[in-house]
Amino acid sequence: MKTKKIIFATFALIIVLIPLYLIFKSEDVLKNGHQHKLRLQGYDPMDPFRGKFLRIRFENSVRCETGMKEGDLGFVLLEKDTSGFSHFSYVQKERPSHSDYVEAKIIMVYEGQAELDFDNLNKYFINEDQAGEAEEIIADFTRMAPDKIHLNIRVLDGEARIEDIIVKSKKLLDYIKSGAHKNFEEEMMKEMMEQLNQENMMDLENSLRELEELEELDAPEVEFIPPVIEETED
Amino acid sequence: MNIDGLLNFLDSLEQKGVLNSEINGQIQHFITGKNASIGKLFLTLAAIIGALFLSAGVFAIISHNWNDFPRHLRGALSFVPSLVALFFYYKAVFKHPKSTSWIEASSLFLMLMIGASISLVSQTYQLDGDFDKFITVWLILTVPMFYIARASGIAVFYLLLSTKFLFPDIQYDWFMPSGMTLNEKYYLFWLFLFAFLPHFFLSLNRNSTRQSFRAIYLGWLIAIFLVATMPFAVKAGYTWWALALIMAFYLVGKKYYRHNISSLGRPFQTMALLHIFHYLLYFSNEQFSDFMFRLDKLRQFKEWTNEQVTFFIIGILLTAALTVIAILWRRKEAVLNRAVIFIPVLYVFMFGIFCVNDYYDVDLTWWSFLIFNIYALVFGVNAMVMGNRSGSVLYMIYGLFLVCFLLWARYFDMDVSFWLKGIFFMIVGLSFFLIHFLSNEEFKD
Repeated sequence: MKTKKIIFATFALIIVLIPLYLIFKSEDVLKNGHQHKLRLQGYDPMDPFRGKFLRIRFENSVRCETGMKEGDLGFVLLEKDTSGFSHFSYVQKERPSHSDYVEAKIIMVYEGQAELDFDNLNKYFINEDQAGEAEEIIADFTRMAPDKIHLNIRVLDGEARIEDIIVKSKKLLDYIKSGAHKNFEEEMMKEMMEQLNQENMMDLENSLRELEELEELDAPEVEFIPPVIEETED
Repeated sequence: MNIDGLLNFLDSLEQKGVLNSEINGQIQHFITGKNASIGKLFLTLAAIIGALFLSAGVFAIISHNWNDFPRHLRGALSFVPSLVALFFYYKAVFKHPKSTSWIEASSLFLMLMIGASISLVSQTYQLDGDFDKFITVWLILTVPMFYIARASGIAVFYLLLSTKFLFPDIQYDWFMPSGMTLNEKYYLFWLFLFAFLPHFFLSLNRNSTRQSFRAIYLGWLIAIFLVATMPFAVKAGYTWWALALIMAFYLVGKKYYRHNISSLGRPFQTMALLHIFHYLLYFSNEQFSDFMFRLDKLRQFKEWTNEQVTFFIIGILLTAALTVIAILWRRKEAVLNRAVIFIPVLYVFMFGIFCVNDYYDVDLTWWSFLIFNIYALVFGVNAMVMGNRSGSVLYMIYGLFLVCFLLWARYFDMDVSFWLKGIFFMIVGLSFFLIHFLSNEEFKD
C-alpha cells in the first residue's frame, strides 16, 4: 500500500508539474522577453477544447539561408523598421548569440524564401461573447486602418508569446469594452474627410506659397487694366 | 422472461417435483450470479458515460474563455480540473479499489481533466502550441493509469489518440498535384502501443482458457485496432506483418480464449479468421500477383532506407517465429488447426514460385495460383466440416461464404474454356448437396 501511495504521489506531482512548467515558462517570456509589434490580419474559427480564437496571420515568408529545406527547424531573426514595427527578416541554421529570435519550422522553401510555421503565434484565444466583435474589429482595421492595429509579442531565447492585440493604442478587450467600435465607420468617414480637408488645405497653402514666391520674383509689373463695360441702351 | 418470473417458474417446477431443491438452488444461483455481473457491467458503463459527459461539460465551460479574470488567477484555476480529478482518482484507488465503476470512471475523468488543465493553461497564455506535443504529453500521463488502478475503459481513448501519429501528412492542392506522405512520427504510435500491451497481458487470466468481459473487450479493441492501423504503421513488408498478425491472433486466441462460449467471446480467433478470409481471397487472384510480390522492388533493396529494411526483416522474423511456435505447439497439444498454420508456408511457396519465374525465365504462375485456390477451397470446406463437428453454425457459414466468394471471383476472372468451367462449377455445386448428407443429424430436422 505504501509503494502504491508513493507511485500515486509521484504521478500526481507530474500531473501538476506540467501545467506549472507551462505557466512559469510563459510568465518568464512575458516578463523578460523583448517586445515586438507585428502587423496582422485575422478571422474567427473555433477550437473544440479551448473555445473560440482569432487566427492571427502575418507575413511568414522570410528570406532563408541556403541549404535549408522543408521540415527543418530554423532560427528566425526579428528586425525593427523606422515606424517601430518589427518583421521577420532572416532564417538561419545557427542559433543567434542574442535572444531576439524565434524558432520556427520550415513548411516550404521557394527561391530563397522560406514559408514558416511559428509556434504560439497563430491563435489568440478569446471569450465566446467577444469573439464575433473582435473578428469584426480586426477585419475592419486591417482593411481600413492597418496602422492602428498590431500584435504585441514577447520574444526570449527562441520562445515567443502573444502579449496582446493593440487597437488604437488600447488592448483589444479594453477596446471592445469601450464600445468605440460602434462608431468605427463614422469615425473613419470623419477622419477621411479631415484628411481630405487637410490635404486640400495643404494644396491651397502650397498654391498660395507658390504665388507669393512668384510675386517676390523680379517679374515686370503688369498694369491692371479694368475691363470696359459697355452700357447698353434698353 | 424477467429474472423474477424465471425464479418463480423454477420454484413451481420444484413444487411439482420436476426439479429437486438442490438443482433448483444451483440453477437459481447461476441465474442470479449472471444477473449480478450484467448489473455490474451496466453500472460501470453508466459511470463511464457519466464521467464522459461531466468532462465534456468541463471542456465546454473552459471553452467559454473567462478572460475577465486576471491572468494569474486563470493560471491558478488551470490546476482545478486535474486536482479535482486526482481527488476522485485517489478515492477510487485507496477507498474503492474493488469497485470497477469507481476505477473506470475516475480514470477516464482524470485522463480527460489532464487534457483540460493543459488546454486551460494554453488558452490563458495564448499557447497555440504543437498538437503533437500536446497529445504526446497527454498520452504519457495516461500510461500510469493502466497500471496504478488497472483501468481499461480509457484504452479506447488512449489508442484512438495514439493514431494521431499515423495520420498521413496530406498536402492538398486545388490546382497543383496533391501530396501524401506517411507520418514521420509513427514511432510514437509504436511506443504508446508497447506501453499499453503489458496492461492487456496483466488483464488476462493466464491460467485459464476462458476470459472475463474485460479481457474480451481489450481483445476486440486490440485486434480491430491492429488490423486498422498496421497498413499505416508498417513501413515495408506489410504482407509479412499481416501474416504475423494472423498467426499472433490465432495463437493468443487459442491460448487464452478458446473456451469462451461464442465468437464474440473469442475476439482474436474471430479476427484471425476474418483476416484470413480477406487474405485468401486477395491472394487467390492472379491479377494481383505482380502487385503483391514486387520482385522489382526487392531488386532495389540497397536503395531502401534503414527503417524500411528493419520493418521488412522484423516482419519476416515475426512470421517465421510465430509459425514455428504454432507448429511446435500443435505437435504438443494438437489444439491448432493445421490449415491456419499452413498459410505462411503457402505464402513462402508462392513467393518461391515467383523467384523461380524470375531467375529461370519460366512461367509457373498459373500453377501456383491453382494450388493457392485449391488451398482456399479446402480451407473453406474444412471450416464447414469443423463447424459441423463442433456444432458451430457461424463457422460453417464462414466456410460457405469463403467458398462462394472464391468461386464467384474465379467464375469471372478464370481464363479457361467455358465448357471446362461449366463442368467444374457443376461438380462444386453438387458437392454442396453432398454436405447435406454429411452434416449433423440435428441440423437436418
